[in-house]
This record gives sequence, structure tokens and C-alpha cells, in this order.
Amino acid sequence: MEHPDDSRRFTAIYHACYPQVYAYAVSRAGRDLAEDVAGDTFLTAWRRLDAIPPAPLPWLLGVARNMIRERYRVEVRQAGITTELRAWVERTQAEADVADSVAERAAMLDALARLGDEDRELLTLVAWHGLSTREAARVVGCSTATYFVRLHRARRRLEQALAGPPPAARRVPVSAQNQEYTR
Amino acid sequence: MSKHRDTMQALAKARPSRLEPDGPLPDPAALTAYPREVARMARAPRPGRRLALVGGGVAVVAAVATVLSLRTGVPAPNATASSSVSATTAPTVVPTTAAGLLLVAAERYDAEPVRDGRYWVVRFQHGEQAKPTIVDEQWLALRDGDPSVAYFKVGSRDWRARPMEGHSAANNFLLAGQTRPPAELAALPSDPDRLKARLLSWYSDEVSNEGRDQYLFYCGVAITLNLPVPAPVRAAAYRMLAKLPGITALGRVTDALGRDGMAVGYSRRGDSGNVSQQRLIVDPATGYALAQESWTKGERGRYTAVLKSQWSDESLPDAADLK
Repeated sequence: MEHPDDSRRFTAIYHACYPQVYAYAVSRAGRDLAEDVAGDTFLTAWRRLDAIPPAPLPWLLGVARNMIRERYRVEVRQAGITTELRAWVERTQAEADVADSVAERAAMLDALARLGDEDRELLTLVAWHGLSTREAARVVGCSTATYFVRLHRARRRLEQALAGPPPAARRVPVSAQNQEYTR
Repeated sequence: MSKHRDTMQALAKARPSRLEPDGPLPDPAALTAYPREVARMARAPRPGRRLALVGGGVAVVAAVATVLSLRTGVPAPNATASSSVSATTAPTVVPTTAAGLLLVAAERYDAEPVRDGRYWVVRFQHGEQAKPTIVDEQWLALRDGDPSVAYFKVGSRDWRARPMEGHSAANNFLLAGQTRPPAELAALPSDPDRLKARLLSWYSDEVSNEGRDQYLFYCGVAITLNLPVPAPVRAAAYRMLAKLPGITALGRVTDALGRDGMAVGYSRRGDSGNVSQQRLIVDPATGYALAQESWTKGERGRYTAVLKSQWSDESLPDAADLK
């Protein structure tokens, strides 16, 4: 049964978390799909309001994560993310007004683009989407300890990618599909 | 270890601005207006993107209609505009340019008296390709203290009413991504240049990733399609659109409900390189805006078709009395 408080609680969660859910969707599927993903995530949230824990963000990102996986074919998502990654680098390079840090940021985004999808998610959940390691572990469905280990490896690969383009394709764990759509 | 921390900090600093949504958030009332059992059936209800984010428009309160026979007895967008009336008053000279069509539409509105009322009543059908069609009727209060109610119809079931919590005359109407009280909408200039200047005074580069022309296009669509403004303001919006660079005439079209009209289009290149086109479909005989549609790669995507938009002085109807 619905209650006036439900609407109020939902609206509070919506205002607090929409930007993060949208940002996560952009980083996982590209901007073209992000709004659909965010909208449908919150529709699920409204429907399952009683299931949302007091700290809603990890729960919401988990819903968004599953939705992206179920909803979109791998190729569609990869095409979206490939476009997105390119746009990050290009857009950052174009921001001439903050010149000193631009090159550094563009290099970072370029290195990130050369990582595998999983590594990118592990890193950005913590660095961009404001989650603690524990919360991020909940989103991807593993233990906090496992997340630490995987994050550590992802970070190392990011540092390697920053140091220079990989000499061989196998040093960067990119899936076959990803390579296909990066060309 | 500290190298790792530096890496994470540098990564945090490199967070791209593209992760931020364009403009203000879509109105959550579009979601909470769904009764839970309908929400369960509706996979992807959401406000038409541009209408909700930038252009304006009333908050979309949608319901899913799984079976709808709208081809029979499609109500004209206004009670006065039946198809037979359209046929007899159709202009003998068919406008061929975008500006021509919009100016003809504007003239039709010049002839309309200025009205107002207690409620602004709009009925829309929303759809997107294979997704279930959505029809809702909203009674949006224009006076403080009056409640606003949305009605929806699911399949062949009866209309159901749903109060729009948190909605009031003060926040029922969105233009340029911000709520505008009815008095402010009523006071919009009826001169196209002054209307444009007023709209641009609300435009902000920081809030909008859109260019100014695109922003004006969506504002114009909202004013002609679904906002309670006096007829001369609608006429001004058409005239403003007629002078907007980038608008193209698309000639005769049928909208998603099969109604004949003429369309103008505004295109933008999306992030993935696809050109998406927003269409405003107008009945040249009456000047009424029939629909807004989004087209990509030759296919109709999301659309909003107007089934009714009118003032009313009546009190809120019972859901059972809606037809």
C-alpha cells in the first residue's frame, strides 16, 4: 500500500542520487543510453522502495548495473562506451581554459580507455562515483577483500597504461569485442 | 602505496564533465505518479527527454495502455477542431517552407480569443517504437490551493485518478527547465522578438549544453504544444520558430496516430554520430500543434501526441466520467 511518506522518501532519494546514477550509466554505457538507464533504475526504485537500504546509492548502482547487462546487447553497450571514452579525451583536450592540468587529465582518461571494462569499473566506482571500497564491492557483488585485491591490480594496470602505450595487445586485458569496436 | 593514492587522486581529478546530466533533473513526479502495480508493467516510462529537461512542458504522468484503439474516434487536439472542420477550412495554398507553415499556424491563433480557466487539461499519448503506449490526462491547477490530478487508463480498464502530490499551480508548468507560475506564462510577450528575448533571459550556458537556437526550438515546441498560454503567445512562438535558423520544412506527414499534418524539423548530431531530428507536427488548417516526435535513421522514436489541450472551469471530474 502506498503512503504519502513513500513519495517523499522516494523524491529525497531521487534528488540525492540521480546525478550519481546518471554518471555511472554514462561511464558504463555511454551518454546515449544513460538517461534511459537512470530513468528505469529509478522506476525500479519506486516500485521496490521497501527494499532500498538506508544508504541507497550502492543499491541503485547495482540495479543500474544489472539493467545495463540485461537490457542491452554487448555490442550496443560497447559501441556506446567506445564513443564515450573517445569523447572524454577529446572534450578534455578541448578545455583550453584550465591548460596546466589538461594534458595530465587527458592522459589519464586515455590510459583509462585502454584498460579493460572490469578494471575501469572497479577504479571509477571508487574514484568518480563516491563509493567506499565496501560499497563498491556491494555494487559488483563481491567481498570487500576481493574488491581490494582486484582494485589493486586494476590500479597497477592503470599506472602501466599511463607510463606508455602497451607494447603488446595482451598486456591490456581488453575483450575481443572491445577491440572490435575500438577500431 | 602513496603512488597508488596519487594515481587514484589523479583519476578522481580527471572525472569528465560528460558524467553530469544536461540541465535540471527530470521531474520525479513522473515516476511517483505511477501506481506501483502500473510501474511494474511499465518498463520505460519517462518524460520526453527534451521536454522534461530543457524545453519545458507539463510533468508527464504516464500510464501504460496495452491495448488501445485510438484510430477510431481520435479526439482532435481541441474540441473545436474536428477533422471535418479541418477539411473545409484547409488553406488553399499549402505552405512549402518551414517559415510559411509556422506563419500560417500563427495566423490561426491570432483569431482565437484569449481564455483562461481554473484548470489546464491536457491529454497525451506517449510512445516509443515497440514500448507500450501510454495515455494520460492531466488536470493541472492554475489557481493556488486547487489540487492537480492525473488520470490514466490501462488497457481496456476504466480510467483511474491519481492525485499529483506536491503539485500546485506554482510548479505545474515547466518552461526552459524551470517551473513557471501561470501568471508568468500568461504574461509572456505576444511579440516574437520580445518573446525570444524573454526566453533567452532564462537561458544559461552553464545549465544547458544546448546551443541557444536549440534551446529556443524546444521552448517554442513547449509553448505551442502543451503550455497554458494565451493564443497570441502561441502565435508569437510560431513566429519566433519561423525565424529560427536550422528549421527545415518536412512537408506533409502523418503523426503516430495517423493524423495528417505538416511538420518542421530541427536536427542535431548525437554523441554517437547519428543525426536525430525533432519534429513538430502542425495541423495547417487549425494551427494546432499535433505532436512532437523524435526521429533517428528514418525511424520514429519517442513521441508525444496531443489528444486534448484546453481550459476548463469545471471541478475535477470523477475518473468514471472520463471518456
